[in-house]
Amino acid sequence: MAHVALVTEAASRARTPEARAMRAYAESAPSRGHSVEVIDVADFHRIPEFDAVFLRLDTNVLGLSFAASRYAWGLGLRVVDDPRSILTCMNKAHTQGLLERAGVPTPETILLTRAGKESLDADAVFAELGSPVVVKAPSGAFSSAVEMARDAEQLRHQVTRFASRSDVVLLQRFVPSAFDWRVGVLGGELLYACRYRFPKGGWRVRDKAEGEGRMRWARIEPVPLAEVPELVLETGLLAANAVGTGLYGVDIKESEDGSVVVIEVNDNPNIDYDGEIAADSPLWAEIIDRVATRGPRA
Amino acid sequence: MCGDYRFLRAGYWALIDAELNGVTSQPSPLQAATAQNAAACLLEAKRAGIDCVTWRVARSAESLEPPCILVPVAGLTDASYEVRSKRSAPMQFRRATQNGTRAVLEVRADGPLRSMKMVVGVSTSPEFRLAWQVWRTFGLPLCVIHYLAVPVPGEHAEPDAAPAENGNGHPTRPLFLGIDPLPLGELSQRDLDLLEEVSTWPMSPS
Repeated sequence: MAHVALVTEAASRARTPEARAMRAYAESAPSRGHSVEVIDVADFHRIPEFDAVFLRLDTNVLGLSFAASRYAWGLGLRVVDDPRSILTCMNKAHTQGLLERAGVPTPETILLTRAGKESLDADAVFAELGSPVVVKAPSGAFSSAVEMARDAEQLRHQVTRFASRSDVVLLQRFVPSAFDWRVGVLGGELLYACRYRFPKGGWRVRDKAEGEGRMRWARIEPVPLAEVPELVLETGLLAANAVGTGLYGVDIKESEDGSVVVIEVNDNPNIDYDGEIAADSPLWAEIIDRVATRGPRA
Repeated sequence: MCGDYRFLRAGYWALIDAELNGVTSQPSPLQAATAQNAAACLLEAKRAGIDCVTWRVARSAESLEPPCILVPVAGLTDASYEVRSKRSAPMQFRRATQNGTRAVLEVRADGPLRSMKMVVGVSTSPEFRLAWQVWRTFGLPLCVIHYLAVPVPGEHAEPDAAPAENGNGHPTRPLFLGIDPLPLGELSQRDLDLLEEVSTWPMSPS
């Protein structure tokens, strides 16, 4: 039996699918012998009152969410997302290194350093990665730091733009697809899966639809684990376990020949009420139970 | 010895490179990020038994209680903002939060803001004990430590007894506020001499 703090902020509480999810956690937790209380991220002094901490707000190394996670970690509480996972997942180059070390398939990737930026040979990059090339800043959520370059001018422009945020920029082979698999993993075990169907003509989770000026979110299509290709699930689990034992949303592209590559491992993945997880799913209680009993701790 | 271990900056990449290659680094990436995040830094320092400033998360300009110092959670305490009166609070709050886009801490201004350089746990400042505590807690070989020099109540100038004083002869004690980078290239010749000396000493932060 554990008392679990759901650490939130005004913005996450104001978003209806997240607010409903918070209620679902709180209402279902007693069925597994736990209790849940929603607290604000600024209320650090309350963290020692709990057995476990579950962050349900945008994580940021340079914000209050990291401080709350780090504090709970230092106190020896179970914490999801733990501070190491936040650090790793907010740095795509770090994640890429861990995935490669664990033998997880990823698109061919070049890490461009500050020095490499100065002597950037665009022709060589396109020759190696093909065209277009995906340019990523190491840190950024919801497709905010991912762009596509189709020629040398675009490549230099995007690299310069992202290099102002970080000493390293990632260049990656583009893998076309109409959707990304999202595999949710918590405590080293599969949790859920869904497809994120991109806006028509788009290639990112948040993108402009064909003929439209404004950005749209991908459509979420929950898929029962039993109906997901085994290779997708295996790869998702392998990728998550390469990062840690917290809660992760692994983005995977599946090619027509059935091969897969991991695009990203996200900490603190979006879990909307009746979105990634159905309203009446037993997973709401299961998540709290895993956080309380198997969540990472120092 | 990069000095600047801020998230995604050159020193931080060196730490990640070390980790990916199975090499233990000092600081660890977690220590480096904790030191940079002002709230995490103060919480961890307090847990380690370091005397810290009194602080809370600043929620609005109206709720500020001057005199206080606003410190962005994103770090860089050299960019802190002093709020001397209720009148200056809205402007300073706007500047510190960058128009409400980032979190800041409200630190009670119990004394003047001071800083000292720390080189592998050693400082030439009278507050060298604080430097050693910060080294033991965060493992940063090079950094600038910020603190408030708080008057010690009931004590008066005692030339041999006071470890530090506020310029008026009154003894003070340091309350830890935060940490800034100290790039190797910014060390003075005196600092480098100190570094050369301490590098011959056997020492560990743990």
